[in-house]
Amino acid sequence: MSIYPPDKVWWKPIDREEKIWLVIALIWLSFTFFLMPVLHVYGRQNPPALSYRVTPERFEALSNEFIEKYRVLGSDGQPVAINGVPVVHPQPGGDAYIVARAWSWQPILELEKGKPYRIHLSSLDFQHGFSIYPLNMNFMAIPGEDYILRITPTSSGEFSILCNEYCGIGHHTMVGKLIVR
Amino acid sequence: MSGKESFPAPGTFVLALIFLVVFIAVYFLNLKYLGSVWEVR
Amino acid sequence: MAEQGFRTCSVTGLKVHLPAERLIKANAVTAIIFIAIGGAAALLAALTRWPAVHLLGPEWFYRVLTAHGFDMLIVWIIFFEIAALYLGSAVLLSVRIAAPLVGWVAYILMLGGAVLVNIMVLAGKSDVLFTSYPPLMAHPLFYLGVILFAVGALIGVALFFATLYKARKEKTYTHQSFPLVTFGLFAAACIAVTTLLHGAGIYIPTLLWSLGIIHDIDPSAYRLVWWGLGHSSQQINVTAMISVWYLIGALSVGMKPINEKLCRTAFVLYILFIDVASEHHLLVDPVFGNAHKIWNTGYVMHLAVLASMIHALAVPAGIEVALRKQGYTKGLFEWFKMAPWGNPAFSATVWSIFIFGFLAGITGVVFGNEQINMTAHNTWRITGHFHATVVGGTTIAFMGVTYYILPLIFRRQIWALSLARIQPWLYGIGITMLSASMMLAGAYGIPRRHWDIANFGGSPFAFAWDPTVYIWLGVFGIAALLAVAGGIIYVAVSAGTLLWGKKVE
Ligand code: HEM
Ligand SMILES: [Cu+2]
Ligand SMILES: [Cu+2]
Repeated sequence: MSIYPPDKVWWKPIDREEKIWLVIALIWLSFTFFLMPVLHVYGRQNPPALSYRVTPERFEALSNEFIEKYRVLGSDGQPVAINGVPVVHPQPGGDAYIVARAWSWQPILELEKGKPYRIHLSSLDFQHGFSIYPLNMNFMAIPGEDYILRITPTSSGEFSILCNEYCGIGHHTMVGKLIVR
Repeated sequence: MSGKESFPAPGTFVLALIFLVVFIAVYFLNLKYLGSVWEVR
Repeated sequence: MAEQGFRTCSVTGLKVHLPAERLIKANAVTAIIFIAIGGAAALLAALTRWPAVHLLGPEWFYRVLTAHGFDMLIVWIIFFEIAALYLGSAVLLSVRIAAPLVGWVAYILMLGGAVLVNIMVLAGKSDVLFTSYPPLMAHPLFYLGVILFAVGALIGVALFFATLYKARKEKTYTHQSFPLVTFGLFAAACIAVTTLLHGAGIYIPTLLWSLGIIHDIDPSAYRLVWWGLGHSSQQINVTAMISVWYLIGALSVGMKPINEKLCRTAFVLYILFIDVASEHHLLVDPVFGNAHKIWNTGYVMHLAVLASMIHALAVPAGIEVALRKQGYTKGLFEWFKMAPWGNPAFSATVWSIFIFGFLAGITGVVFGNEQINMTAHNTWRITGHFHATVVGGTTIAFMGVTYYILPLIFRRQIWALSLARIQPWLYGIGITMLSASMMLAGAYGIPRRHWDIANFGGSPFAFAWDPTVYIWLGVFGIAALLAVAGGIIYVAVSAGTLLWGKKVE
């Protein structure tokens, strides 16, 4: 029994069925493993691995520059904002910034469907979780790291951004918006 | 080889195969779900 | 004939060293006290996350969640594991525990640390959740409490190794190797050493940072080292849980592992390969490259998964063989029907194997896929997954073995056996539903650790969820009540047994 020391000779051959199970398990697990590198070649959804060190001050400055440059202007020539958050229309194929800070997302990006973007994601204070609803795509926003998501929106509409990493008492109020036309 | 005798736990072997089928099904369902989100790299 | 300081167990024939027995009792009782505290916190957290109730305010929700995570995942589980280590060494090898006094030092450090953390959390000085990601800062005594607990646990693990060495030197067991259960616990203890060292490695600088001695803690580096603690400790839990499966299998149906060699090799795979897998928590983090992520989470973790798949066949097969020997040989499943379902330890083990395999194991590999993880990270899919691993798997197994520890170590007959019999079912069904409903809600993007998914605390950007998630959130609420009821019965049966259980001679 497994609570007593094993028999004198316990180095016994493995049963046939056990061997079959072992082989099946190995094949299946090799498949699930090799699928990951293979998806990097053939898949369209791969976790980004490009990032740079950046101080929060520098990231804030860069994002402000970006917001100034690409702000959407209304028919009256005034910059458009929703709930006080500026709406920005970055150049397709170009860079865009999303700034996480307790407890808001800045700015509201207006993207074009089917066009690629380089979205820079970082935090100015705590760790935040960047989650797009209803897509359910999730990435970490970490202070000190400029995380670059090369994203191509393939559906249009209004999307919400919520924070899904605890970032203090106002964590649940940290909601933002993303628009795809 | 002890393969001449039949496996002493055939019921468990069936359960294990059911487990494997569920495993594979859930895996592919999730890959399909993944395919529905935006392109990103 | 009994040697001084020993008694002979009438059921297993093992010699039990009395000072070791006292240490096992203290650690097990403390574990159960903390599962009661953590369970109260679970109820409050669940009633808050159930939108139909939304009980607590945000401050107390995050506070209670911090307490729940810490008291359950760290305190309940590790106290119980330390009890299991003393049982697996001193009792199963019929040897004196190497140094009882050291065992008490470990116990006091752990208890002191746990109490300190709870005080700092409930006093509202450490609302950082149990991951305590910087730059969120807790009170220095919170970090100190964690360090004391980890050091105490490390000393307990060292005592386990010392006791094994003593048994080896005094040749208290026949043949060349430990019993399989002890071997499995040995693997768990090896993993515990590296895990707890990661704990010290991350919490000592963090303590210094909170005291203002160190200026900065790099958040990314913290995540890497912290998960060397946070995830590896789950591997201790898996390994200890499987050892407990073998233990209960032996005690309840007289199970023998069908192939010792394979089972032991699987435990060795855990020691070798499981530690690095912690990086699957960092799959959507910046900083780490793809190749690095795939290697750590993919290749090496999958060898650990292979070990789990070996046990997944070996444990039920061992049980089947033992029951067939008892004459239940008809068809494929007569043995299953005729199994000792009236024994709560046995039914707990079956629930543990079922939930760990079908819910926890599968989702673990799926969400650990580098790509799929993007659709799971930090959502309730993850919370659902780990309530299947550490609650449906480990906690239920530990509850099951309690029903043997009570008569064999505390030497009291189980009080209210009929309640004990339904306990694994209530808890098992509750956790199955809880974990599944969390994972389903999470698939819509329901975030973890979130006080107000309905109104977002009044944010102007609040949005409405797909209404079907409210079905899953309703199932979640009911499941939480069932599981909490099962938890209450567990604590009540344990306490009742200690207070009123008939003494076993
Ligand atoms: C009656 C049983 C239980 C119920 C109803 C329950 C319920 C919950 C709920 C509602 C949450 C909060 C989820 C969120 O807001 O994201 C949670 C989190 C958690 N639970 Fe449990 N739980 C139970 C037992 C356990 C046990 C036994 C353990 C560990 C052994 C455990 C470990 C955790 C952990 C680690 C967290 C995460 C905390 C965090 O995100 O900081 N739970 N649980
Ligand atoms: Cu946030
Ligand atoms: Cu947050």
